[in-house]
Amino acid sequence: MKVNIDYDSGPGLRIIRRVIDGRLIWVRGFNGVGKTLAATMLAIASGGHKFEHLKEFESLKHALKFVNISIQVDEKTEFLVKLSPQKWEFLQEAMTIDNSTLGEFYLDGKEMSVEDFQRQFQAKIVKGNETLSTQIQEMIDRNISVFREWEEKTSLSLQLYADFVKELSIKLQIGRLDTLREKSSELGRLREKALRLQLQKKEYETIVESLAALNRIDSDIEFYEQHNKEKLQEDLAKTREELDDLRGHVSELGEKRGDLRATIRQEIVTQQQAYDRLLRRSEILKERIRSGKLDLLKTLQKLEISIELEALDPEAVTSEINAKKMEYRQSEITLKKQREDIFLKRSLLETADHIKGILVSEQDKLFDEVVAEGYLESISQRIELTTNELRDLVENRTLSIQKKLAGTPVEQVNARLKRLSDLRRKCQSVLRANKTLNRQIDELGPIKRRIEQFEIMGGDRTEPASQMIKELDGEIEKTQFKIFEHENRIQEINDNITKIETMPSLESLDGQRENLFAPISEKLMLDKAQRITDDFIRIQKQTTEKLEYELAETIGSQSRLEKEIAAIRRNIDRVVSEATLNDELDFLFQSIEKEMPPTEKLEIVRKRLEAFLDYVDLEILQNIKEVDITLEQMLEFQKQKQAVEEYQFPKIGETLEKIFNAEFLRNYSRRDFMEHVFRGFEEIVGFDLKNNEISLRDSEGEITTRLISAFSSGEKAFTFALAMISLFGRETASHKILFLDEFGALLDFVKEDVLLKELEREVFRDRKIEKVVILLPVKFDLEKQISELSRLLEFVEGDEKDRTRSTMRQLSSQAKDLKKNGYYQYETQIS
Amino acid sequence: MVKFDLILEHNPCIREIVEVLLANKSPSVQELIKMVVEGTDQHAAKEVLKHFVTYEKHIMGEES
Repeated sequence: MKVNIDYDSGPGLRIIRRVIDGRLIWVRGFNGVGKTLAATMLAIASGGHKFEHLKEFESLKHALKFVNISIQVDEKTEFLVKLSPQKWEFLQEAMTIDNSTLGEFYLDGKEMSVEDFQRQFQAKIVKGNETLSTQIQEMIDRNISVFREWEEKTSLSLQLYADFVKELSIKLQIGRLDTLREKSSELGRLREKALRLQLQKKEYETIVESLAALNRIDSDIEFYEQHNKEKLQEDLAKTREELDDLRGHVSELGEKRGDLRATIRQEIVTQQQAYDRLLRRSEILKERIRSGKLDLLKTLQKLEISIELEALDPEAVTSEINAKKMEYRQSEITLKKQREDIFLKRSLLETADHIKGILVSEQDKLFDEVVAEGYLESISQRIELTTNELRDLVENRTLSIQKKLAGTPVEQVNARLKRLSDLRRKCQSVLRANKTLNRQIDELGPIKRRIEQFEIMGGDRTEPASQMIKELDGEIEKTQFKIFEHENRIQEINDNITKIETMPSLESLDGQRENLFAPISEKLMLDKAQRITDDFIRIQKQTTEKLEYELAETIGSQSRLEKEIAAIRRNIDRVVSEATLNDELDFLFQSIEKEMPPTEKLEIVRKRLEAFLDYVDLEILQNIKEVDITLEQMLEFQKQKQAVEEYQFPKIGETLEKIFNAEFLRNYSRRDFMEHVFRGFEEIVGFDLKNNEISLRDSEGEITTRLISAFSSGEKAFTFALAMISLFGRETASHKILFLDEFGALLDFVKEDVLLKELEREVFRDRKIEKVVILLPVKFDLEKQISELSRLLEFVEGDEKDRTRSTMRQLSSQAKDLKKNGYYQYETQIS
Repeated sequence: MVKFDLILEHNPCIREIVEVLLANKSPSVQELIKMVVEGTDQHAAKEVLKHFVTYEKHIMGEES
């Protein structure tokens, strides 16, 4: 049988393309060249491959585009398998590929069904690293995967159901049931509270009534203790006398006050007249002062003195006038000097005219004769003058004086002096008028003060009488108050006398007190001698009022709550009514009596929904979880090689132990295992997975217990593999190919010839299996071997030399294949 | 969807475990468990709840 594989894949995935013809083929190659994958493709085609994980399947499916496998059984028989990985569907339940999606199958060019193919052809991979322990772990692990998946699915389902139930609850407004229950419960509490408050209130009202009666009785008793009729009558007589005296005293004081008022009235008339006079005088003076001020102001204006009317007072006027007078005096002195100067100049002019006349008349006689000598200051020089020169000089001087005299005529100066004289007279007149004004102002001052006095207090003379009247008023008021007090006292005494005359006797009051006190004394913890005060009653009344208020509040709340409850019930009625007519919701109400109140119907639905979630959670999910946990523990016991704890769920542990025990017995009690793995024993008695033990019976009937891990050594692994090979040998397919994978480590324990011997016995005898392919890593250095053989050639002769050459050729071919493909293969002849 | 029955069919050991778990359970409970394990969509939720409501007395009766 030879196998050819054609394929297309993504990068990184390789499959060896050929398995040469022959019954026992060794394939040695580097890791990753696709030795195991070639075996896997054949196992997939024959429906015998179980994936470890979904990811392994997905990874393979996505990497492969197509795989065509040609299985040339012999010259007459050829299978062709066209795998179509893109169409593969995974059966998660069996961890295999759905047969119907594997691809197309042909026998000698004719299409055949997958089932027919698998009936005729089987490929099996037996791994050399499998042991009893690893296989048991694998079996448990497979179970865990299923239960874990169920657990996950159920958790998801539960979450989904919870959401769905929540959605239904919202649609049905089931939350209102809680509100209704809370509010109904609250209403019940309020009703109880109202009843309790009513009873308490009634009780306190009775107590307060009794206390009030007791208070009245105590008051009467106290009255008896404080008063007696005779003493009251004495007080009455005495008080009446005092009242009469007081009334008389008031009358006297009233008369006195009347006299004083008459005196004051007379005095006021007299004062009135004086006041009128003062007012008139004051007005006259004010008018005079006012007109005097106006006149003065006019005169001052004439004197060019500017004073405002408001600022016009005698002192200011005097000061201004004196200043003016001083100014006028200065002007007068100046004018007078000016006038004297004019007179002097006139005199000089006359003298000059006279001299000029003399010079003119004497001119002919004194012609050019020096007639005058002098010193001229302006040139600081002594000069000598002739008659003409002197005449010219005089003329010039005359002209100069004339010019000066022409500027200020003496009449004008005199006029000014006269005006100044008038002004000074006016100043004097002003000073006189000012003096008069000053005197009038001085006179007005006292008059104004007296007027003010009158206006403030009506004059001084009535003051003492007024004071006395005030004192009398006070005394009258006090006495009247005393009268009022006495009148009240008399009324009070009279009332008390009446009360004493109408009151029950003291003995009778004591009896009444006894009757009223007894029922409330215990309730209020009262001492018998304790007097019932108004304050005490008020406190009890406050308690009653507080109870009343609380009761009203409670009844109000109760009423509001009743309305709310009614509204909720109406709402539930509507929702339930609508739901029972709704195709989406009516199933929830099935088998509920139609006559049942809607609230109760909804309550049943709520319980159904809760029971549903609880059931899924507690009865389904929890059970699955428990199985999963127990399986996990079981696996852990196997890995730990001993039980590290008890099963968390002992009953499930026990059950699973039984089930697995039966399963393992079914698997491993077969002859193949007894011959290879448990050689020397007759049968397996049972497995104890918790303690990681296996019990075996020998031919003597003796039972031996061993650790399962004891069957995990390399040698035991080999025997285990042989058992698996043996089992495959008994499969009924016409053509079988066996791949021994991961056998490298095993061959360290078992010699190659032992393996071949066992294969001969289990596989090739009777052609139980047509072809065996042993997959191994590259172990030998082929080049080195060839080199060693070439050296050996020098030392051998004849057949030995031929065989050596043949081996060298074979090794060279293998080295070439290895270099080219990453693997090489060869056949070992079987005897 | 993971078919409950198929898993049982392919796994004799699991079938036995499930049989133990479901021992003495009525078909309605078995059906319910099957629906829960298989159904994870809104429609399934309604169907499972319908089934539960229909057989509530049987299911809960067995529990009690």
